[in-house]
Amino acid sequence: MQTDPAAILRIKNLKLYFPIGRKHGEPQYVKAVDDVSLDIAKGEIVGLVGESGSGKSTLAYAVAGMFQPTGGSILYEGRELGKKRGLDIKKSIQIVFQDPGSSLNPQHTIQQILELPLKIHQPQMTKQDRERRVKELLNMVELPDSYRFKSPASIGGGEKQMAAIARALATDPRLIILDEPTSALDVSIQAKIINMLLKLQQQNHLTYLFITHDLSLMRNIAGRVAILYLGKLDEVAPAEDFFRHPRHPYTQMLISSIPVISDEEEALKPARAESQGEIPSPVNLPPGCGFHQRCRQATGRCRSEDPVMRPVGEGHDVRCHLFDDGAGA
Amino acid sequence: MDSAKEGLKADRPEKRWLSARRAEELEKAWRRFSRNRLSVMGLILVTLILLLAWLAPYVTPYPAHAGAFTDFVNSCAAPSAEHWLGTDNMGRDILTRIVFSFRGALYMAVLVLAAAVPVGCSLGLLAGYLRGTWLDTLIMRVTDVFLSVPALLLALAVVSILEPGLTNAMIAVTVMWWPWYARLMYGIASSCRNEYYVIHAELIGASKPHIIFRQILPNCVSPIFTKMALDVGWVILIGATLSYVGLGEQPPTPSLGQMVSDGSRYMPDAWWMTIFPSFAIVLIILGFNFLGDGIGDMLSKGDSKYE
Amino acid sequence: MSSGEVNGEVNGERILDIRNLKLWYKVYKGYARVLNDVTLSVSRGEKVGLVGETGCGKTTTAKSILGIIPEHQYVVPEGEIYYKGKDILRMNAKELGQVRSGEISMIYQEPAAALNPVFTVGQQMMDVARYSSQGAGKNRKRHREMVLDAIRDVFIPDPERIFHFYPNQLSGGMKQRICIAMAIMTRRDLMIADEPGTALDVTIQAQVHKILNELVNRRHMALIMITHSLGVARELTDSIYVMYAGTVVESAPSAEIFRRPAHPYTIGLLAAAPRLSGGGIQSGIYGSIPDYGSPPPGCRFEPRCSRAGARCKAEAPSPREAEPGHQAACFNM
Repeated sequence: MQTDPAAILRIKNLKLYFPIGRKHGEPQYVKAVDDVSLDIAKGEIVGLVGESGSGKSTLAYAVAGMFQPTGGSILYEGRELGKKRGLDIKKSIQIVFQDPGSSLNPQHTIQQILELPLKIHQPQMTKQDRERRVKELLNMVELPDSYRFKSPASIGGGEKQMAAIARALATDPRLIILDEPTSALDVSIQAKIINMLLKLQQQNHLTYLFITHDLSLMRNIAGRVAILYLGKLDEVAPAEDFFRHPRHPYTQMLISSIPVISDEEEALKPARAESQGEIPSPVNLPPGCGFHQRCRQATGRCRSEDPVMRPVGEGHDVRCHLFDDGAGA
Repeated sequence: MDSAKEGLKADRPEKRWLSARRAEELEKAWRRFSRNRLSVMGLILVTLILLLAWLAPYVTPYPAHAGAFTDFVNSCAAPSAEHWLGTDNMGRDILTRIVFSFRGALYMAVLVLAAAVPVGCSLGLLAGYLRGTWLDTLIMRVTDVFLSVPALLLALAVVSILEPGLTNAMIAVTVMWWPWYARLMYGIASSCRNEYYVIHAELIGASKPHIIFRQILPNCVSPIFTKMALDVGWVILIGATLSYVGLGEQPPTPSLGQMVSDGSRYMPDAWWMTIFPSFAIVLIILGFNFLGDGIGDMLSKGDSKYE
Repeated sequence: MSSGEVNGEVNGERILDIRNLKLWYKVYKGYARVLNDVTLSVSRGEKVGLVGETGCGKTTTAKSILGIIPEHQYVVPEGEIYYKGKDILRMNAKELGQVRSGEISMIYQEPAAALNPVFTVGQQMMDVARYSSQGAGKNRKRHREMVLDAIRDVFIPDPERIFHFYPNQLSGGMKQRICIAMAIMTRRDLMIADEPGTALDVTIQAQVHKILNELVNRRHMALIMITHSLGVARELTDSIYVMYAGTVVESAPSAEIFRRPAHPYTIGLLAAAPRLSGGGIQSGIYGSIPDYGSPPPGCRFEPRCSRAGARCKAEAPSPREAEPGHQAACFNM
């Protein structure tokens, strides 16, 4: 993978292992994220796609600062993010969680919720300034001013998520991690929030790391897509190329499994990639490629040897033995 | 909260909207509370007991009988028009003494909770927030030690080391009471700690006191209130037990446990000396339990919309 | 109106026929008018999709078909639910029990909640065999065979082994397969599937849908597929009923809904759905579903509708034919 000098965030060989006790005296780990490298350029929207247990949220939380890496490093604008992050880093990297019901304190008003980041990062602000800024933030996410006095319990799920986005914007961040921000919402509300997020990204020159399990959604927002399976990246590619020419058998299976609403989309689904098998437990993974048990094209080699990332096209990397000889398309 | 209030001053229409909302909320709370008729009964009972205790000198027929009064002519008189609940071995009116003993009992309950709740809650809150650290282990193991000793035994030990009396009884009960609050608070706080709003506050760099007192604490209060209401009855029962064995309120001040104990020597002939104070204990406990259940219902907002 | 026309030609026996169903929940000081006008019919061998967003009344509809809403909680001011010609709303407890245990089966969104964690899969399925009308008698061997056959039917290899598993030893997809196996174990005429794949990963969801589809086809059952996803409905069903705020706003053969959606709500829903082919997402639908305590007097979609006029405010539209077999409840088609 070539390094990008314009990268705002560089994830290098990141490992996140969680101990889960011992078996036969050997400490056991869940390898939630295993040797993942990913660069995110300034102003880019990178989509991180994976099913449950793929480690996508763990990866996002590590970038946000919730977990310490077991190995590897995360660099923000060239600075390694260590154990203690400075306030400037906390100001620059923000996160929006999946469940707006749990990410807003039910005992606070929206005003109090939006004020907190201001109080921490701009302590010089007066009360009036803060109030003005809160109104401004609410306007940014298209909520009326009067919502300042509402409690999260009294507003709808979509509105709660908008408030959570407003909170993330409060500190003027550069990078926002969006952890499935719309997966708990109906599509009509999702559309509104996604469009708003895209607009905000343009206006405020933001960089997004967008996590989702919804590939159709990803197609419409991300510039680049990365697929995570059992803690490892399987394929990284520009969105257009990713959906037109998916290479990895897992990606193909994923795309062909999506229920779609038009024949045009149906035509994009790879043929002969019907879903089979189960996602194995991330504890005690079999040797070789993590996907070989579900892969129609698996060979003896896939059962013994884990493939490594290889470029197959312009910015398009795949981690699969099928492409080991450099045979691109 | 302050800024919200200030905002209210700024826009008047907001204020009206909020107070209408508050009124609606109160109405809903009352609906949740009153759905169970026993809760309303508990509320009435408790209000009655509080009023009686407060106005004891004015509502009782023989206020003088609350002290060291003797009237051996009337001793052990059965219930009659003069003495509704009869008299004791000193000839004192039992009704009067029961009502006066409410004062000590409530006084004790309030003071015990006032001491035990803050101590238990702050320790539980701290341990819950610092879950997994050595401080958590220390606090919770000490709590466990207290919980593992039978409560009454602990109280008896404390009072017998000190001197019998209401104050020492209260100290004893407080010592055995706080660990329950530490436990309860620990459970709520440590689960609240994993809520995303707490995680978010940490991620953006909020201070620890802010997280503990502004983010976690407000979400823990309703179960604490419920438990407090339920506990008033139990503290009174423990107080009565201590005074039954002579380690609580000392004569001549009346106390329910001591009345039961004194009366038991005259059973079954002068049954009223034992039965009525016992009945009073039952009423107090029932009253506070029903009230506590009602408060629990009121504070739990998780009920479905279509009920 | 006659609902039978919705599906043009109907191939089999009419299994379920819901006519203008209104169902109100009793709430403090009044009613939550949840189901406003639900008309839906399913025939043997037919697969029907009931599509709508959160709170539109899909699940309430399913519950009312099964008659599992506690009696004191609701009123039905209008409408009938005919199951094979008999009105479920007017059945006595015995008849209702018969329908529930022997005629209709249901699959839920959360397979974990539908299985009892303290019994093995086999024990739970044996119970179904024993208490169902077809498993009559105490022949354990025969029951066991029924169970193993059912597990085999949902493509679980090695049913003997799965028989002794507890639910928590199975993955989400496996649990849902077991739920399907339980639902089809005895001969049923109608299957109601309430978002059976929603809690599962997309690759696993595809497998579950495939199994469900095959079984319903093979057994010639009628299927009501409740889902929030138009895509799922498109892949699995013959005809689709779109529901909004307790009203069936549009019904048509599946392909027709996507080719020529007629109701503004359906159009908005289709526009809001992200496409695999890209091109961005359109605006979505502003606002939220109405308060069921005091719904709009006219069309329930009117407050969110871009086409709404004065008539929509005053009067609730009843379904009209947009094309043969394609109905929509809108004045402005």
